Amino acid sequence: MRKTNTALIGNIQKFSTQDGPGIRSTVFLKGCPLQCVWCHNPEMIRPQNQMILSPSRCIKCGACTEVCPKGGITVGEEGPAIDFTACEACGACAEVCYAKAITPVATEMTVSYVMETILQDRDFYEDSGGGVTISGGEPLQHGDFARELIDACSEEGIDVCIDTSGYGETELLMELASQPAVTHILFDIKHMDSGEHERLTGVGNELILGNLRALAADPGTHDKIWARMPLLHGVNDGEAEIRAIRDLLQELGIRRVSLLGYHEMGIAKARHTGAGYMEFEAPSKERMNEIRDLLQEAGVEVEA
Amino acid sequence: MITDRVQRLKDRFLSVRPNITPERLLLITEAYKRYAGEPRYLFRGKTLAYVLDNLSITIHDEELIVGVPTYTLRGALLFPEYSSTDWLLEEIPEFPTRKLDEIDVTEEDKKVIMDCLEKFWQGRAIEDLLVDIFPEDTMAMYENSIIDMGQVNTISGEVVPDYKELMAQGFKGYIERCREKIAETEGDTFENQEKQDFWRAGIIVLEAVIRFANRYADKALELAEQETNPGRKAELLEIASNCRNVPENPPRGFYEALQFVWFVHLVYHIEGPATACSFGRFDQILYPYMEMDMNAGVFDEDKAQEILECFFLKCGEVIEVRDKECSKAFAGFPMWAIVMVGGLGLDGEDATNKLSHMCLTAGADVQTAQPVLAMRISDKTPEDLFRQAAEMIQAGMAQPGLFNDDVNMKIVRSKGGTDEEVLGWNVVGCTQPQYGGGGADCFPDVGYVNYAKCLEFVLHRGVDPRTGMKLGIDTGDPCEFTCKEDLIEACKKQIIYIHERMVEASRIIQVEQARRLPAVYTSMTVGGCIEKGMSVQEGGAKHSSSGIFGTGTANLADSIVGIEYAVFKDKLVTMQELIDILDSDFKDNERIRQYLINIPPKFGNDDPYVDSINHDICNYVAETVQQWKDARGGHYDYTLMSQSENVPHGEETGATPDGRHAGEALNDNSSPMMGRDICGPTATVKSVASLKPENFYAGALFNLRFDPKSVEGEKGIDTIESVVKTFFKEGGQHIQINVVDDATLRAAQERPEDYRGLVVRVAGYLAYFTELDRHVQDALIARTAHGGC
Repeated sequence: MRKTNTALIGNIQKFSTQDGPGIRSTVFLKGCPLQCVWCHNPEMIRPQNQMILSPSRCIKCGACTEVCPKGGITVGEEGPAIDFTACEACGACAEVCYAKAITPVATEMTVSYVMETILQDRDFYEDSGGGVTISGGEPLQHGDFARELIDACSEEGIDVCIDTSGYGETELLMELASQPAVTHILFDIKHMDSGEHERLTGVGNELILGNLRALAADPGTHDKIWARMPLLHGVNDGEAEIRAIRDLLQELGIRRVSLLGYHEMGIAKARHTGAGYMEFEAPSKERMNEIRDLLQEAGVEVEA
Repeated sequence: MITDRVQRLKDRFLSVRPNITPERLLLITEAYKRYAGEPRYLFRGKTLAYVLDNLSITIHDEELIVGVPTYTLRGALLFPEYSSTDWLLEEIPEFPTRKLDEIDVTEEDKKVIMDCLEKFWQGRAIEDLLVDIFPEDTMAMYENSIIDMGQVNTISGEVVPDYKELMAQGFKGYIERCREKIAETEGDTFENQEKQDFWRAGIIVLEAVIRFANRYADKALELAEQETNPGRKAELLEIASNCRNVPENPPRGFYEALQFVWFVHLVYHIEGPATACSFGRFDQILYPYMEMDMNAGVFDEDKAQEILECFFLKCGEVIEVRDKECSKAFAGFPMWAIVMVGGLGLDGEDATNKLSHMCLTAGADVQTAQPVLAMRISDKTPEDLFRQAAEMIQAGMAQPGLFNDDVNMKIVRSKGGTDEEVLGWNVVGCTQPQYGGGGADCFPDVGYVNYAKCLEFVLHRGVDPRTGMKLGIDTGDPCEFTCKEDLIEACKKQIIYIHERMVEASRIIQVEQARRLPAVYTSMTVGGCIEKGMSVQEGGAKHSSSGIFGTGTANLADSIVGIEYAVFKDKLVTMQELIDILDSDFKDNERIRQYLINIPPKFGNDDPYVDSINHDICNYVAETVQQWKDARGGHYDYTLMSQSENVPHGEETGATPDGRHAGEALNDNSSPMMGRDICGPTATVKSVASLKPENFYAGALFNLRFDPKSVEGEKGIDTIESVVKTFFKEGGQHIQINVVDDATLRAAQERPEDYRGLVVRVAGYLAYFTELDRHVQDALIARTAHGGC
């Protein structure tokens, strides 16, 4: 049966080795209710499509300037510049940009189409214990699509991981997480203080932590939790914060966590989509080790 | 753990640049004067014996395995009977300063060498003689770099000797066999007299090698007498005892077996400018001798490991002098001395043994370019061996090369191998599967045909736009083509035409090598020659074959699809406009170039549409050329392989419709064009496997690159193994894995177009390296340089 739900997909990244077990294909869904100040996929936040620049690719042919219905593109020494406030992402510029200096961030795809790509790497999943990871953006923003994609993977016997901020309808999360094909929920813990959380991500953490508790409370989903902690120096790597997270993990019996040190690789993408950005630092190597040790002492399996 | 001795030997090895001495040149010159007029086999036998009897004998400090081609460390020999003085005289003065593969020569030696070459050898090498007898059209193609002629100045044999039999009998057993053959053959016909000569010459060279080994024994005794360190004295006495016994007699243990193998191998490189003499299934051939030590209760694993590593270091000491152009095509002094481990035994069960592991350890310890480690992988390969290999790859050693037992056995079977030859298959050259059992000779290098150039001929009706000369064939007016099928048809015709011309030339080379320079010693060691009474050059081996290479195959497939999109489908340009744009190297047409790069699909992205075109063309060529016969009745082994020939071939080729600029390198081996595979390694390996290398008698060489993060840690080992297993399951024949290093990332900063597919892998993150800000790239480079992205 054709799977006709569609979503804006940023990419289906094959050979993803950092998003769950084995060799995986990660499906990036566009749209996220959070606006984390350090977001490394800032182009994936808005639910609508948008254009992204790759200025180094520009050959300065000017074709884009001629086709933009808003007259909003100029090409200078540094490559193309888009008036992002006026841009409606019609894509006319990308059509004529053979150099791919301007491209749409995402492409609308049906589940069936996504599955065709996913199935190409089936042998790799089977041998490595890998599968598909639904990421984003926020998968919980795309309930119907995610549901259908999980069903399709299930029919093909392909393992699924969900990579989530935890911010979404509890019922939906529990429904998706309970699917037998879903083996891991990669669940971000960003800050234990709700006020801080709101300052950093635009939303409080009550819903997120409530969802985490719900997953932990259900024996069918408890063991699927794989916590992930994005760590930023001076933001969420303090002793009190780490101990609070440790206590939560202990309380909920969560045994697996990955530490994700901040990296600057999202900044270029923010700039190239006309978004603002802030610069942070990763915790020092020593601090990362201390955090790892602290969590390991609490019986948590830590992956750096 | 590497021992202090091996570390010192390694440091010494690395501190010395390759160099040449006049030693062999002067000896062979004297020998030519002395034996002029002898019939060819005896002439060859006696001249080699003269060289061996007079070469200096050098044992370097601390060595455990002895035997060197000349008195300097990493000294290379000159072969004036093969290499033309035309280039030797011109290039030797530039050797120390040339751009690639510099070779040192002292002023004094240079004078002696130049003097001898000028006086005696001008116009007398086989390379000179061949030029006179090539057909005119072939010569024109050669002079314009449309075809290259392999083996024009090297010995033809690419052999895996029958080490098992050689060691079982010792050279004295082989001498005895030659005597028996002489005794049972009447010398009353031309043919029989030739055979008699062959066996007599064989006895002459085998006896000379025994004397050569004995001179090493004498030298070791002499050094032992002077040695004050009792430890070294004992070692020298043991070396003397080894060299007294082998290769004349069968080895009495592992140490002697290694010394035996080394003498056999070394003399190939004294007889002629040998390349690609493989050690074959090293762990299988030598393990019985290790068992001999175990049974005798004298096996010391640490000691055996150290001797093995000394042997490995020895392998880098034979170097072939190549001209400027060859050095470009084969950069880094490769000698293709393969040490193969693992795989199925003759009983069909896994044959991994202790020595398989020790060889990998030795490779990881010495990390020199020679020998080249290769590993056979089957469903039955034990996890610990696979893991040991994966750990080496993870550490960035790019070794061992991995080979699919299943597909390679299929290949040897389809070449007519017996069960034993199929199960015992091994590799010669880079990655070419060969019959097991040491009875095969391959004329490795008929030559490389440049498929991107063939397309250029198609688009110019056989004319080379660089020179205006018509060197290809006219396959019709390309402007009349209406679909990609027309193009493919024309390309196939063009490719076969060029292959035919090259094969013609190589047949002449084969005939003349057999007539003038039969390699008597090499032939003695290869199964079949003594029985037939003829050299490998004439077809003496049980199996003879010749290697044919296709290069630029991905460029061709990408270009065909590029034309289809730009001309037939999107009608962006007409065929004539496109040809003009290509001829001008995209001058003022960068936009069209970007279209060609980014819009039509490219080989290497698991896109069946373009992959099938590459498959179709390569398989058509393979089916065609593999039916031809070489000068000695052997078949042609087709393979997708370029070595670094893709660089000079690129230099000779104008802009191509895949967006490649004129002069830029072509795709490497069977891999996709650089920077055009942008869907990650899983897609790349599926594309390469889809070419069905099992249909190519010599397989398809494939290099794959991983970013360090993706193969980091414990999971990285599993990832490497999974990719390899899946590639093999899909039909891959060979894979060599490189982990991206900081130098690659730097290159990507400078030439982003060639590295578009380089993904940065971080949890939940999506980006290509070339799209990152410069300072972020710099940070990644710094981290990679410190191990781990």
